[in-house]
Amino acid sequence: MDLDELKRTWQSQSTRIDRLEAQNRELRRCVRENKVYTKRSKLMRTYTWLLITSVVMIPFVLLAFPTLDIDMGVTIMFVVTMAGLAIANSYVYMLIKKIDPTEMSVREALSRVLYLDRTRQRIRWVSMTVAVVVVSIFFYTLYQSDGHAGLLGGIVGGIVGGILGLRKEAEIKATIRAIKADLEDALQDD
Amino acid sequence: MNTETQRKQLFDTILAEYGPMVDKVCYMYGADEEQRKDLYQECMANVWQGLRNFRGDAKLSTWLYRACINTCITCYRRTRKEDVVPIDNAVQLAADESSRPDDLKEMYRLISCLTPVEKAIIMMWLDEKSYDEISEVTGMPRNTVASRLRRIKSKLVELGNS
Repeated sequence: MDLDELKRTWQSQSTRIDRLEAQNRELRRCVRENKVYTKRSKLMRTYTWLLITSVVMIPFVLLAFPTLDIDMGVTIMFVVTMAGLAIANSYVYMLIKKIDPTEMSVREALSRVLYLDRTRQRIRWVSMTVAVVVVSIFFYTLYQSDGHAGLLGGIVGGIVGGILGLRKEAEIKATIRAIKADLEDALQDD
Repeated sequence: MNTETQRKQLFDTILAEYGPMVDKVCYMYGADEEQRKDLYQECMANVWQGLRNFRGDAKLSTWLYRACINTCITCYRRTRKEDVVPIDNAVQLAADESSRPDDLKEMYRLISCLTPVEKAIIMMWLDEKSYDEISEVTGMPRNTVASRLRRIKSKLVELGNS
């Protein structure tokens, strides 16, 4: 097939309208009911919830920990961690908000998505490390007051969390590799 | 976009007139029928949200190409290993009398061998978009678009002969 044939074939093909009818009907219904969600808007909503959760946790920790007789140092550590998470989540939220596929070029979209994914990966690593330290100290204080039960719960939780975290990490790494390859392809010849 | 009513009217027009064009693009990036449907849904959802800021500076079809290609390229990379057009399903796309189903399958086979960015460039070229329009969508300088297109064309010819 030569290039002229290829062009002719591309232009002569047409989607059977009946294939799209159901999907278009559904889209019109979503527009009428004001329920059009993109992956980006869903992700923004997730980060809004993460932000709210980390902010709400601060007064909760401040009120609940002293009644549980938890050390003031541990309480402060929890508060600082939650505040850090809140800042990180709002930063990621802003990065997602800035990605608009209808306004930016392919190159720009790829580089922003790559930056976003790398940032999320870094934040995940930092928060995982901090979480391990904070939770270890927390369970150590529980161990001191409750004995082995608290420590065992902490170890099991740590193992499950670690496995889930590593699986997610592998997925993210593959995604970043693919975006990087596309971006390099888009930047070729410059 | 001035009013919500105008936005809805334009979106209706896009669904009716440009739906098949968006579908063709999604078809080249989706690994199967399910993904194609998801991509179409996601592209159109992005288009609906983007219409709020659409001022008509660019041609509507070029603006749609940008929205769809960006959505497709950034959406489905997790299935990159399966990022192959389902050639056997190509019959779902109908050709007019001037093309045979075999030509369609061959066309999809050739284009599916390209990288996502190459696919974007060649699809716009096949749709008679100018170098300036391709450059606007991809963000590549005009000269780069020209040289990339030359290379993609020779790659397609080579693939066609193999």
